[in-house]
Amino acid sequence: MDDMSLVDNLIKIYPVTMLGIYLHAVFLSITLGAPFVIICLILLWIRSGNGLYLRAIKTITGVLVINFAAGAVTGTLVEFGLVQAWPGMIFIISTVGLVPFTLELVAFVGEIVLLVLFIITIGKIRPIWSISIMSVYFIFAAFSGAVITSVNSWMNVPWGTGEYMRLFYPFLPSFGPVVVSEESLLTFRAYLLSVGSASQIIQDQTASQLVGKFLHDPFVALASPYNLVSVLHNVTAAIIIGMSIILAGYTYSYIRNKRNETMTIIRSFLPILVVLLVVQPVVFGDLMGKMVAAYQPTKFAAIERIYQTRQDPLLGFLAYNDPNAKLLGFDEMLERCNELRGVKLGERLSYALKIPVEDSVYQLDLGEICRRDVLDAQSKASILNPTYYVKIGGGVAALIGALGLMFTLYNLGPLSSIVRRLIKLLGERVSMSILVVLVLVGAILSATIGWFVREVGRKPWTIYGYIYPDEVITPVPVDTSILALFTAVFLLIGAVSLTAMYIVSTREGKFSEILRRTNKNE
Amino acid sequence: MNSFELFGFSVLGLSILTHLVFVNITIGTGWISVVTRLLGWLRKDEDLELMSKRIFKILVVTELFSGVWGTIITVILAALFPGLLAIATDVMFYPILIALVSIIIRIPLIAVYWYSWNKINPKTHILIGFIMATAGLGVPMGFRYIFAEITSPYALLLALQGAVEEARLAIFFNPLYPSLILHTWAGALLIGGLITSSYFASRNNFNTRYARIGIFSSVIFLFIQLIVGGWYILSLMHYSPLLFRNLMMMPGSSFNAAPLLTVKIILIGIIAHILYRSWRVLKNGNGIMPRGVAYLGLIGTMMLIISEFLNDGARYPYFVLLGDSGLPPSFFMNVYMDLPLLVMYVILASLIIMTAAFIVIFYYALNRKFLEDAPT
Repeated sequence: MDDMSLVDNLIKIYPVTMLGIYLHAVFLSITLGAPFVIICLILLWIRSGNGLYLRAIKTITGVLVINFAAGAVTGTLVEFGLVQAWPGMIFIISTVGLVPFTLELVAFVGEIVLLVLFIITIGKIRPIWSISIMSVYFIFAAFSGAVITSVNSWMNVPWGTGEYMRLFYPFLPSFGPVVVSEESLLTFRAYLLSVGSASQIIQDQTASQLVGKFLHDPFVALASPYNLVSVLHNVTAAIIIGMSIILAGYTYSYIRNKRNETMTIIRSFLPILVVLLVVQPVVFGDLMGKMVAAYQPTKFAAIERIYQTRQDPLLGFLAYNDPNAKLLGFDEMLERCNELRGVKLGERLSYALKIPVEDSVYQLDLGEICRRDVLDAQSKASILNPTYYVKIGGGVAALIGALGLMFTLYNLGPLSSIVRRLIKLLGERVSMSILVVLVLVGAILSATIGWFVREVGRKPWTIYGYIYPDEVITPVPVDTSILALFTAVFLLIGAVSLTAMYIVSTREGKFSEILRRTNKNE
Repeated sequence: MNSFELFGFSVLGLSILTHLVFVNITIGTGWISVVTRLLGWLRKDEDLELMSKRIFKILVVTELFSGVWGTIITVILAALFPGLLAIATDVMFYPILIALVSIIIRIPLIAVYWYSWNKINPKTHILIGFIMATAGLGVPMGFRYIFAEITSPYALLLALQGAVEEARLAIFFNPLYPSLILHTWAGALLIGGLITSSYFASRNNFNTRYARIGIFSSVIFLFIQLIVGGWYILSLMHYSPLLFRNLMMMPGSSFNAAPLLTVKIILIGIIAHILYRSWRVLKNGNGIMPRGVAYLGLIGTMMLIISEFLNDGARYPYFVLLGDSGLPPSFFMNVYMDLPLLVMYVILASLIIMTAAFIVIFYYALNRKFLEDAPT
């Protein structure tokens, strides 16, 4: 298959993959957010003995079940699609992704078992046991998110490759202690430049043998500092979205019915949401930014539009804890690329290559490749910079909305008085609606755009500084009608699941009724 | 085989066996549910429709777990046998696409079929059910090309010689495939019948009429299975001589699978005997259902596991069979890193324990009517 066809596949398949991943992420968020609310509801139920809370627990559990099923279905399809449409990913799963992906299987099965156990035992066993089951369920769900994030993190920052990426891009930092084989890493890179498709190398036994042992530490994806921060950042973002969706549901219900119990439910978990919304930007977001600045110079420069290397006290302090820090710009990166001008791939890497490199590959100018890729990364600045700041704005909006609700529902001194006066001015209905929309839209915008920035920010590579997207895409020509079918099914799954969740959450006792009807076969 | 190869071979085999148990149940019960729904509507028989709903519950729960184990197989293949998975996603791209398209049609239709019951025109509802059930057959229709290729390589040989583009279409002409897929389909429908019989013969779900429908379905597909199964064995003789010799314990075999084949034949005999006895009793009306009917599902599942083991495990020590010899697992195994065996064992044990826990919970949910007591 020629390069154009690979690019054609890339253009066709990429949007469908993104749709699947985003849809899966929506379900995943509710899966992570709902346990917090359910545990708060169980505590309310223990304290008050009010049956209304037990019903609320069942309602949220019903939403969680539908959501989990939809998440499992989309996750399965995304995973199948990953190896089918992006077979180069098999190399990642068989190396750095091996331990995380297999651990994820345990987490996934554990989630199913505990969720079913929770459903059939709630109300029949002591509430403290129900809390324990739901807590372990959450641990499995969070663990699942964490290990999958670790693979994505490695693709963003290929930890364990030491200085090797600097052979191609001299401006890149060192990616931790070396736990990969230099020969293998470089042979695979040269092979890819020669063959064009990772899939072709993996399925060729001779080629695979020549690539040889790539990885010495199977746990490397879990151990990188970039990953540890990413896990905290991503899992927290997912919890925030999940809780925000439930908060929006209860606020809508309160505005309509004015039930005190609904308000009590909101009050029970709102402080957790506020704490998370504060911790997320102040601690995890800050750490994430520092990691990007440290390990992904092209992404950092694109986000902040640093075309010329410069100093910026605020940015320097935020990114490096140093107001005088030099902010690496695209100009300096291109200059560093010039160091490689005239250096041929074959002569630079010949000491490591075990394969005969074709002459055209041998003659590739590393400086030209470096310049081309930096310019490609630079071209993303015009989209990454505004979207990044919309993401920040989304987070701020969510925090303002949550704090507004907090000051309204709790008596927190003068600030509460001020907010309540404002609410009186606008009317409770309008002001609560505005605040909850701020939380919901802000949280969703922040997280979805955040993921977009994370993904687009690592371009032009799939594995930062190492492999391009068209090298992992399938070499088999894919018909557009097939992709249209996949798109339609993803959308259908999304629409059916969201409708089902809406019905279960808005009609009291609907989930219990479904369970009863299922069993009585009505 | 060295210890790594044996580990990979066994783990993959175990996952496939577990997956196929769930898959066969979900495909078979899906068809019984849809056909009884159709008959209920044609005869205006609400009782049959009730049966359709009750059987459908089994489908829903097993479908989820069959999907889970399908994912597990994918990860195991990618992690332990990346070479094979890369070939499969390239040379066998179109057959896998058939399976994937079937999955994406089936999953939403399961939800639509369940939630639209009594809410839409019965004809449309039944049509949705039949599409859903047919899509169920489409899944093995795609994946069985892989099994046909590793048992009797046809397109794979072309691919190994470098003619990958030709191989992508040649795969549809594998001579072993027709008998294999018919054997698979008949097996799934037989399992559906046996599970149905057992379910409605069990104490908490007892219903003579429903059990009789399961028995009737089982009789038909057992008969069909005897024919297509025979054809499959004959096909193996021609197209996969080593596997045939291993099954028959003939000279030149690499593994003695004959004892297991004998056990399978005995199990078929037991199933046939129970079906015959129960059919005679039930045909006359008021007889007491033989106790053995309640065990038909279990015996059928054992038969299924042994059958699939004979199909896959009996190729030992090879992974892909090539006439009288074959390619060992090492040909496709992960060479990019040393497998952390301890971690793999722990993960495998955890999966098995949790699957067992799920089966126990599933059993209680279905048979002890936990759901009925679900608080309001």
